[in-house]
Amino acid sequence: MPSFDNDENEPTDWTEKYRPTNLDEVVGNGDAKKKLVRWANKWGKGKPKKKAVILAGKAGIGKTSAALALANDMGWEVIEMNASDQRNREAIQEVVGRSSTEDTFSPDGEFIPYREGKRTLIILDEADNIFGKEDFGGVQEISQVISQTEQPIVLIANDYYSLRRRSRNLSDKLQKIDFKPLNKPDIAVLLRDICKEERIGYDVDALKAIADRSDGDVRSAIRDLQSVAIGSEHIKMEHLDVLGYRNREAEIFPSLRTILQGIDPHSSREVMFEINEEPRNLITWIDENIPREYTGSEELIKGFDSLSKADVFLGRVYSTQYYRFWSYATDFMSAGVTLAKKHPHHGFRKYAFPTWIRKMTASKSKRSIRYSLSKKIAKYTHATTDRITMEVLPYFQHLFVTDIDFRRNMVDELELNRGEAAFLLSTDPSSKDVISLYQEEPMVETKVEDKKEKKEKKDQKSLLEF
Amino acid sequence: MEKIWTEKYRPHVLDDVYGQERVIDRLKAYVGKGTLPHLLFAGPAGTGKTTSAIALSKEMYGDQWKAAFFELNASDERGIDVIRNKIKEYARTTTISQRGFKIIFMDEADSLTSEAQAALRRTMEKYSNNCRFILSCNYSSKIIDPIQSRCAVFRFRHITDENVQRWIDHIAAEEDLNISEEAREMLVRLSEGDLRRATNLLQISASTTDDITGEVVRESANIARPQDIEDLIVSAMKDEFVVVRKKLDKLLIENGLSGGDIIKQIHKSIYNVPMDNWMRMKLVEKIGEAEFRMVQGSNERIQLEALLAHFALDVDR
Repeated sequence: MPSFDNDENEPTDWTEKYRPTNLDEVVGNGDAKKKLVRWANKWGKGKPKKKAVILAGKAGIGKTSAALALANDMGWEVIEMNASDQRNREAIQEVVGRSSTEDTFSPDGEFIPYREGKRTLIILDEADNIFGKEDFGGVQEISQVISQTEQPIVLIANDYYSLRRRSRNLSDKLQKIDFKPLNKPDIAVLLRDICKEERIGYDVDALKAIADRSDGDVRSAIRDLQSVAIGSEHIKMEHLDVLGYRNREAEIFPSLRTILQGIDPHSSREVMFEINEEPRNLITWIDENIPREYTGSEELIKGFDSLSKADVFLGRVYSTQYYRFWSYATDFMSAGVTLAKKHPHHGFRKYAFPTWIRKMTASKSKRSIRYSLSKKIAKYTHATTDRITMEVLPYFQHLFVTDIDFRRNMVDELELNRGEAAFLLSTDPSSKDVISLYQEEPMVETKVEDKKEKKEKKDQKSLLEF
Repeated sequence: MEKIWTEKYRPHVLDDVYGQERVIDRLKAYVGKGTLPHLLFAGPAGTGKTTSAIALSKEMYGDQWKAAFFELNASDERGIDVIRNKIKEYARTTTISQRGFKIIFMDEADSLTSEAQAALRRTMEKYSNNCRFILSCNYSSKIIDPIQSRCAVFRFRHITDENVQRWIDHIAAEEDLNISEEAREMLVRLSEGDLRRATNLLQISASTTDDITGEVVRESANIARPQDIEDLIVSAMKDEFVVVRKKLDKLLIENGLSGGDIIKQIHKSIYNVPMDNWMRMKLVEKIGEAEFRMVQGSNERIQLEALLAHFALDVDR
């Protein structure tokens, strides 16, 4: 039987889990929220002069959240299109055009004739990305849709001015609402609330450091918090190392420059001793930045070749537990990498903290779901997990998405849980598509389901996804 | 279409196994006599090794086969100790079939190190009074001699194009599919003698339409076997390295491929990417070297980066 572990129903991604439901809960940006509400109230009385607004501001500061929360507050349905959707002329016509001038449909596909009064908010996320080559015609299309629409439209963009440059005609039709980066104390407070909710202890300094680093990007702050919170009961300053924090950057970058810009192998070896860091962490810093400094192919080849040798020695350390090998590893990652070039490099190139560890931490739950899924399919089809991941999973997923009978039957036969079903459908475990898969199960679940229904509202998924 | 076709159409009896007539004749003889030595099935993927083992058990034990057949996957288990314990537990349980022995089927036995194989051999000895082992592998040469000498070795050949075609026609008839000549040829070619792949491809193709044309197969092949690796190679030949690395990360993280998988696929795909033949051979050498280092190293991504750096060799960045 499919399992109904409660925690599987929760979004595992905290940025989703803690997405605000009401506009009141959206942190900061008071002015913007007021403007948004004023504009929305006009829709209650008819049609405002500007039928579309554009929420402009950098990533992760609550634009999409504000739009979704607004819809929830107003009791509007939502149709959302993301940059990942195919946004050619036809697609826009199909969804935005129809839903705004004729009927609307609710997230479960039911038609709602618009005259019955319920509004549908059309959200065009990442609108500044819409104007690529493949979206030829998209600008005019949207411009036209705004002229014709009977429904409120929200565009969301990081870079308003690039959009304005592309089309004055379009930008003139939009009411611009600016979103500003959040201030750090607000973010820190939010992080504290999440820790309490998750029953995780914290050092205030650590939360401040995360907030500080986020530069007002609340989403990245929550993501960082989740990355360090995985597997720990109390968040401390030293846990932040894994994220490659600023102070760490200030310590390590100069040494990296010695290695990557200089040509003296002795200096490179020396700086290695100054950095208080395990070789296996150090190698990720060098790895991250080699291609930022070594852009010629010969340097790149030699630099990475040396790094690969360093990694082989690290591997030997782990397989033999013989730590003397570390010294060879550090020689290769410092002096070896330095010697990849004939001449010193000058000038300033931007270095970065290693993304790899962070990416791996952030994707941990997703990877483990994929693994358990592959394992189940492997057992069912008498094949190995590796082979399933490589060859069968994409095909299995395709059938799972396109064929409802296949989907239902496989959930049953492979005893897929909600997390796995959601993974296959690229959606959230609390989304309607996932819930409906488990609906014909015993009554025990009804209570949980009801609660989920509410959650549903904020987990609006684009109709285009399916 | 609610089932996975590889299971729906997996043959239940030995006679229905495609393209391995000689092997099947001998296996049927064992069923006739009711005895069985340890067996070693060697051959490429999708040629009927697992199917034959299951069909053999079904014929030996009839309805009781599930109780008498135990399937283990060497590459999926965590080490030889886990394998031994599982075998021990299974062998100890007393429900002995009417035949006096049970079957333990171990897939990918060649993924075990030679030390682990030696341990396995002792386990085989220990339980040989009431268990028969069927070991399956791609290459019998990777199985240590002491095991080989205790097993009857069966070689499973690549399924011939003709037989792949018969298989496709068989499913097509059952499912009422119309397959164009071009589509049939493509299915055969893309399957490379692997019936599992043929079946999977056919199922995806049929998921959109009953009229399967070459175009449908082409699209399906893109779903079943993403072109991402070829894309990675092409990108490595022309793009800035940070861009290449992003693509690599996507394969490792989002698609969940292991470093080993990616290396294997790079090796396979490099023949599909247009480049100078001489350069290609140089790169093949680098691919092999990268795989070698990956086995010893600790961070697969670094080894893959080091490999991909070579691809831009002749190109001005």
